[in-house]
Amino acid sequence: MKNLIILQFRKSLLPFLVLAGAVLLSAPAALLFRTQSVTGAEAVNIAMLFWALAGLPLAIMTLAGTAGSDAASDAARAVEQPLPESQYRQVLSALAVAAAQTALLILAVYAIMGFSVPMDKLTFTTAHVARHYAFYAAFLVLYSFTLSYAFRNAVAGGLAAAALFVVTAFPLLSAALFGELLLDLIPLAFINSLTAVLALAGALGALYLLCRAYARREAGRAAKVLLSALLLAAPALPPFFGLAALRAKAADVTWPVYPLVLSTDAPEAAPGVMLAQKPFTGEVFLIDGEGRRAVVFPEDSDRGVPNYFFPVPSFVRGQTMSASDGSVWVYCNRYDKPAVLLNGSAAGGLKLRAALPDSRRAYFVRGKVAGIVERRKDGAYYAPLRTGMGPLEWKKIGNMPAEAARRWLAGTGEEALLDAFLRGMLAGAPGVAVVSADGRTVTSGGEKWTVPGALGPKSPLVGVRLDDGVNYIVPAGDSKDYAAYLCPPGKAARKLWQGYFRVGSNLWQAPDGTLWGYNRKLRVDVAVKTIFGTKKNDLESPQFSILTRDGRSIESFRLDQILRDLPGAKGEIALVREENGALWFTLGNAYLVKTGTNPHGPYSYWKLPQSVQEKYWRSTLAANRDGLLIAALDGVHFMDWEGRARKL
Amino acid sequence: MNDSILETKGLRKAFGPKEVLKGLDLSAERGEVIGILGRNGSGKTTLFSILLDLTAADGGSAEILGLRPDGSGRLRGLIGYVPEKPAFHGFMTALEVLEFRARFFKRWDMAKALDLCRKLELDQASRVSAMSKGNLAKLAWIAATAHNPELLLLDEPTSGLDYLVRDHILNGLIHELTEGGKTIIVANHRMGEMGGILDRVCVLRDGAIAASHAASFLAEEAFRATVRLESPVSLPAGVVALGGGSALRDFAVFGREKLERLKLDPAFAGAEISPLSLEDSFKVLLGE
Amino acid sequence: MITLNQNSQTPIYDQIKLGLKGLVKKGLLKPGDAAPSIRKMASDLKVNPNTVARAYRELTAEGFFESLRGQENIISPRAGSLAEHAARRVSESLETALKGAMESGFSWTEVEKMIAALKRKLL
Repeated sequence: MKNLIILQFRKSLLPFLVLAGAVLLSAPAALLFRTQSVTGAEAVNIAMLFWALAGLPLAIMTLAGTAGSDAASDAARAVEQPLPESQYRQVLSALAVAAAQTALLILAVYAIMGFSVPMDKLTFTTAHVARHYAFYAAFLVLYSFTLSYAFRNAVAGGLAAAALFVVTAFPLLSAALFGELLLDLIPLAFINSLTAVLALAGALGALYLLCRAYARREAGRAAKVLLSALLLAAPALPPFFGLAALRAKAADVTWPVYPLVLSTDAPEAAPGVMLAQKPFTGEVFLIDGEGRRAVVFPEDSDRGVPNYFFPVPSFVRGQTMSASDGSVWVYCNRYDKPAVLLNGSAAGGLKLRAALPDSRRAYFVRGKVAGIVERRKDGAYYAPLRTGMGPLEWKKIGNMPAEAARRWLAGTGEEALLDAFLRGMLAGAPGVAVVSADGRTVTSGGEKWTVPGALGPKSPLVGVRLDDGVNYIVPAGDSKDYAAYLCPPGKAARKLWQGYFRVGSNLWQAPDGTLWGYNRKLRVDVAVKTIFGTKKNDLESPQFSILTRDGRSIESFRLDQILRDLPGAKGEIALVREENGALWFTLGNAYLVKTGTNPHGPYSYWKLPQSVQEKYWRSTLAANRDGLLIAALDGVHFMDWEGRARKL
Repeated sequence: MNDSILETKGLRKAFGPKEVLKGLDLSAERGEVIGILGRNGSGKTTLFSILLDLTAADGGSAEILGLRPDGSGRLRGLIGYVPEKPAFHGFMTALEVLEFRARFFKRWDMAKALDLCRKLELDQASRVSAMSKGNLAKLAWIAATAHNPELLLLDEPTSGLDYLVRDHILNGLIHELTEGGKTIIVANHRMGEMGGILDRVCVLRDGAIAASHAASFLAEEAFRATVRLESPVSLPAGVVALGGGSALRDFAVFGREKLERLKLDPAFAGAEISPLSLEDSFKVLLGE
Repeated sequence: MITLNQNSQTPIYDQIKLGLKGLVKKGLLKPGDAAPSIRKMASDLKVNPNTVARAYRELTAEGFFESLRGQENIISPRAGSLAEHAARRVSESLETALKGAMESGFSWTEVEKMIAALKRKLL
């Protein structure tokens, strides 16, 4: 067979040398003809990228295509087949030469690029192609050759190979895009490997069958040709099925709906429910711990053909707020459609109260009566939210000067415009305290506390409801440091913790009322064992300060040991419950941990099901009194405080 | 040493709806020279193709030199094949062709090949693309015999060649026979000058070997009987009507015995008996 | 040297033998001469070398050829007399046949016609 390979090389020497020459000459040509704005190295890289993405595929189709059609030609039959080498091996030697020539050309391009590809300068698609270049090139060589052999024509074979290439590569690219952007929903590596194996085996098998049908003129030709066609088409199946599986799984992916604006004065989300969305179907709904759900937006019925191949997730923004009668207000805003305001409950369904014409910015505000503020082109408008039907009564509360309007159109947010109004609204709300201008007293309703050095005279303080009533945490200056004072109802203020704490800023209330926060994070070294040895990671371990409902304070509580034991938990750590001295924390989107007040003592932990772990730091959890609502890869799950989870 | 060089039983091959070989039985012993006589398109080349393991038979069996055609190409290394239209790579010279082939055949004798070039007056440096038909035939002959195969398959080896080249080829054939041990199968649609070299003539007709005669039989025992017939007569076996006018008819008779018996037939009394030429014998066999 | 008649009823090897014998009779080949090699004879006549080989074998068996000094197929001294023998035998047979014909009442012209017909038949 070696002699045949040498012969084939000699036969195709001229076109190969021409192509190699073109590749080699394009480097100095790029240097000569570059524009001023591009450096020499960049110019050469651009030329080589052009080769890689356009020139080489055409070169491959030419070399492999002519090799294939020559192998099937009458001349080959007359001259070469009578040699004492099996006809299949003769065909393989021609293929081997085409493959070797391709490899040499690719190597030349790669070498001119300095043996490295500037991945960061490429678009996603080109980077994907660059990563899998060897596979795509091999596919094109094999298929151009085999199809040119089948059709006895290089042009027909090359075009057919290109068509099959696109059909196979497109869904592969799609699936890779998915995986890159979001989540590993299907075993992409398996599908890629399967496709590669099928392509290689399929092309060689088809070539074998075609050799028997055409060269040896065996009976049953039609059957052999049909089988070859099936073998050649087979590698397109795993990517398609993979993509279909991906789409099916993606349709289940559930994400929480995050608010547009993160404001310290924003009202808390309605307790006990989660506003969730399925980014790949467009469905948005409100769900409670029992699994009852009410639809905000139904599924998009038709997202178009391009969306089939490159499904683009669309995310909505929204907010929930509980109303005085226990129902839930829901505001939800989609990019291309008007925003909606609804009222209702997960169990009973949601009713549309208003469609908001300006769908960019609206949010709930607290006050004596909860309300909604909407930013429109010409200014800000406010409407109180009252239960019952009837349209909202909008009142203009502020103008939009030209400068601010421009900034607003650019989307850079302009909170200062409304700060005064919001603060004013907030100040009038129940459960809100105000710091006096001289920083000495804190007043709320009829109560008054003395807090030395209280900070924030301009910002109203939101109170927290504990067992004994509404308490206020007031940040104050304390010599060179800060301190947090507790102002309980009917009692004097006392210093609670060292450090700056402010409700809504770094102090939050868990669904059961436990107050927790931290203003420092310390670094913890973690040694992670991998198969390559141990790797040192460092984690951030917050120093928690906790105030239970019945008034017990725990300061400087750290989870170092737990963080060391549970690797891979990325994202925020939150306290979600306290009961009889046991504390429950969520670690990122990965674990629910139950520990005693001794952080080095025994603890239990449960892995959250199907959660999105790696890529995203934002919490996909919503805690309520009974457990955790988890927006996961396959829908919404609920886990209770003993780690029992079920899918809703 | 096994004396059966080649044996086929019931070979069948069809290309689509067209059946070319319909149960072909052929056998050859060591040292035999067999001529396969068949009209143009009768399947001679297909038969060779199957024997050379280039085309797969649809049915039947073949055993050549102890091997069966299995697609591996091994058989082609043991057979010397001169195709009807010899073809080589146009960019090679005669010497390059021979050197190229030498690498494929274990028993290649380069000295013999070069000697043949000289004897046949073939310029080693001449390029294939510029060769005349005669030179291509010479090169094909050298390529087929230089590796001393036990079996030679020649497809129309002399058709279209001038007298001198034909002479060279025939002399080469005789030389190979003189060396001893070679079996030669020649497929031709005109046996002509080969008559003296053949041991046996097989007639390929309707996809099978219709008749097989020793060459000496055809040379010595083929007669033409010219007779005047008053009324139509039934012909015994081995007697073929050749044509003629209404009353005067010609008949071919194969076999001395058959001739004697025919002479006893009253209808044939007074027939003029003359020998039937080899060419005419072939024509009769083909046309039957 | 020898011409063959492919259409003749006489087997080719016989024609070769007769041809060689004829050459000796005409004095073109003398005892002691080597006959042409099998290959050369086969090439010239365009016949199977086996046929030539058979003719030579029979000639050797008949004593027409002998091996001398390691060389085969040398015309033996008896070849000339063998040829003469054969010629005489033929002459005697003809004489007998012709005598018989005349005694049976055939005229010379009829005999000549018969000879002509036989010539056609045999050649």
